[in-house]
Amino acid sequence: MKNFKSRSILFIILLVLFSGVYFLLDTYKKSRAQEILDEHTHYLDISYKQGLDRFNIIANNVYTFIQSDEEFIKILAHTDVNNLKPSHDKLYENFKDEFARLEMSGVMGIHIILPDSRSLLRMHQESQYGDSLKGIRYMVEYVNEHKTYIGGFEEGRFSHAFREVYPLYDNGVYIGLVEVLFSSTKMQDYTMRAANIHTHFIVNKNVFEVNAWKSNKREPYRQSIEHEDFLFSQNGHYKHKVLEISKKNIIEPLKEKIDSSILHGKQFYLYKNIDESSKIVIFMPIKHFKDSQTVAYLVSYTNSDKLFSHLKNMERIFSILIIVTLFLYFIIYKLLREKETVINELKYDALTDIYTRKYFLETSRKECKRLKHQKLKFSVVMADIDYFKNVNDTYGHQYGDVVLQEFAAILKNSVRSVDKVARYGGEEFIIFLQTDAENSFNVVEGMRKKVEASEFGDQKIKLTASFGLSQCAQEKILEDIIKRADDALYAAKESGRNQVHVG
Amino acid sequence: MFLRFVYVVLLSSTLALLQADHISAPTAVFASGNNKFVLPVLVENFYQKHPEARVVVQYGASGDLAASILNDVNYDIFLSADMYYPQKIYDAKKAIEPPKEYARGALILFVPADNAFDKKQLKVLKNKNIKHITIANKETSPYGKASIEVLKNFKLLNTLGKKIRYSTDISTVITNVIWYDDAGFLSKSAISSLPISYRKEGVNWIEVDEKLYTPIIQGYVVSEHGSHNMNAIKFLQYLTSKEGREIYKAYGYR
Repeated sequence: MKNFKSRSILFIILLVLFSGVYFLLDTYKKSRAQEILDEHTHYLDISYKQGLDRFNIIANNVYTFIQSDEEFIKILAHTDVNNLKPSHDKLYENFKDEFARLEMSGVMGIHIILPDSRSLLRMHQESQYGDSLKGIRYMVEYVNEHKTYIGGFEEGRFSHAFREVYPLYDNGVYIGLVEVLFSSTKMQDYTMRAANIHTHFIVNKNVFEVNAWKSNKREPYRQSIEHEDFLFSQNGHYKHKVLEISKKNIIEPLKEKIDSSILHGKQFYLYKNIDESSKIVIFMPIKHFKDSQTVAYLVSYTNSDKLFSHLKNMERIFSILIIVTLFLYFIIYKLLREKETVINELKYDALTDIYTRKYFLETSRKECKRLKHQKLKFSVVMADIDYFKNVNDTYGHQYGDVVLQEFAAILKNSVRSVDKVARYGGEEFIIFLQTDAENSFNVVEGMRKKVEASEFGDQKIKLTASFGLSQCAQEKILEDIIKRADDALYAAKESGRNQVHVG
Repeated sequence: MFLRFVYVVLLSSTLALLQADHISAPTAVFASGNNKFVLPVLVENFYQKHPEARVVVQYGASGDLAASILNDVNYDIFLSADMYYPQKIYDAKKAIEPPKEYARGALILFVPADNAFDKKQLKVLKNKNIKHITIANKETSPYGKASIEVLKNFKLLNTLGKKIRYSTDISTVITNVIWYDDAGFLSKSAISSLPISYRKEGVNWIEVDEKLYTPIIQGYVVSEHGSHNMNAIKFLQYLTSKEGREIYKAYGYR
């Protein structure tokens, strides 16, 4: 019982220690991983912002060129609002060659819009004009109202795009706006080429299909591998096979996490270890210009050997921790066991499994003191098997041992758990009873009778025993009481054995 | 290699089809990439004088075009960017006469806008912001060869060699400069394909000192078939006429 308890305590202490160290290590593991992931996010963020800056620089050049082109401004300023065709045609002719050059250098489209938000000229979709963009193009309405530059991401009639919108003036009179469009694939190209970050630009189809842009022919859209609600504008850089492999190896194992995070519209990242490297996938939200709602994500795919080796090292450290803890548990358990064995050897007689004389004396001395202090009565009994030497001589020592075991069992079974029975030496036994002489006498008499009635060993031999009893009286020390009991035993032997004498 | 094979097959089959029709037999002109900007203008002017004529131009790197001619692809006129490839064709007896000069090319350096570019000249390439220098393929394009010569003569090839990226596609060179702050060598005629905001001499581009590279003498040869084609003869006459040369000069040729 006691052993079990100390083992449990040991187990709990080790468990607490283990949990503590595990917690610390786990915290370190997470914070270091976080640092690496933050680094990757930071680079993606920078590269995205640089892309936006580049859109702005190129668009600003286009705007400056148009605003300073007197011919262009004159045609725009003199547009007949009831008949847009002449201005549309003239502006298209005027700008056609330059647009071809701009298109070649990475501009997706240029859109001239009137102050009443009607489209006058889409260089990228020349035949489509005259339609009102009210209620469809928030950025257009914003610039028409505030007459100031804005840039952002917005869907349009024909496609979603990064848009840079500038107000146009003729001698201080507001005459409309020019919008320079850049494709999301251009942003993908930019991060790849400028920062070596492979990205997918994915748009939420539920948001964009509202404005019926399905007719767009400029960019081929396909189902994104990341989520069924998102579309991906594919260009030459993305091979179908590569996408399938990424989907199978990276996206599908992380699907649950992606599904639970993607609709929140916040930035999140995931990672997965493949081939000695960690694949990091970062979802960077792209907000709609109007209401800051996340309508698209720039998803980056980067590799980190640093994260991989960190995670591997931590795995190793965790295994070592588990091994060390188990080893410690084993060692301490072993030590405790050994200690217990030594204690038991001192406490119990190897043959009869009752207390040893040494243990009996030690504990009884304390008991004696305590009982005296509490003014309680107790008795000591000495017991001896009559003619035991004859048993050994007749049946051998082994048989004698069996007799001793059975005799000890009779004594032990006759007393309560508060009482103590010990082997005093040879065939002599000693008993400590926490009760007065009268009760003790009855107990001992009971023992005597049991012994007399019992048959010992295979040969079922009959034996008797003599008992000397003494109740604690004036004696200060236990040995004196024992002496009196011993004397009483002697007297019992002298008086013919098989009897109890009180000393 | 496979693509080149497809290219040769396609080219020969279309030309074979066209040439089956003798009445309006068009002139098949193979022209090196730098001609892409000037030749359409020249052809247009030629049509005004000879409305009945038809000219079909196939552009490519001089080396690639020469390779297809040597592979028995039919042509009438080959406008190379050097004298080497036409000479090879003549040597292979696939031209009736040795090559003759029709234009002299000039090389420009296109960089991210720099107001001190005029002063810095080629030293601008030492700028750390310039990560790559795009030039035409040195194996197949004489302009690519000239660009390498310039870097060598300016003692920059060793230090900047790692920055060199090859591309025969002019739009790639322009995109790389406009989007990624790279530098790029172009034929001067390519200026016309730069968006107007990127055309300031001394800010966006400079003409490379002609002493730094072997003159780009552009030669042409005519095939046996071309020499019997009246349209081809008329076209050649126009190309080498004063008017023709003026058009080339207007597009940066010397």
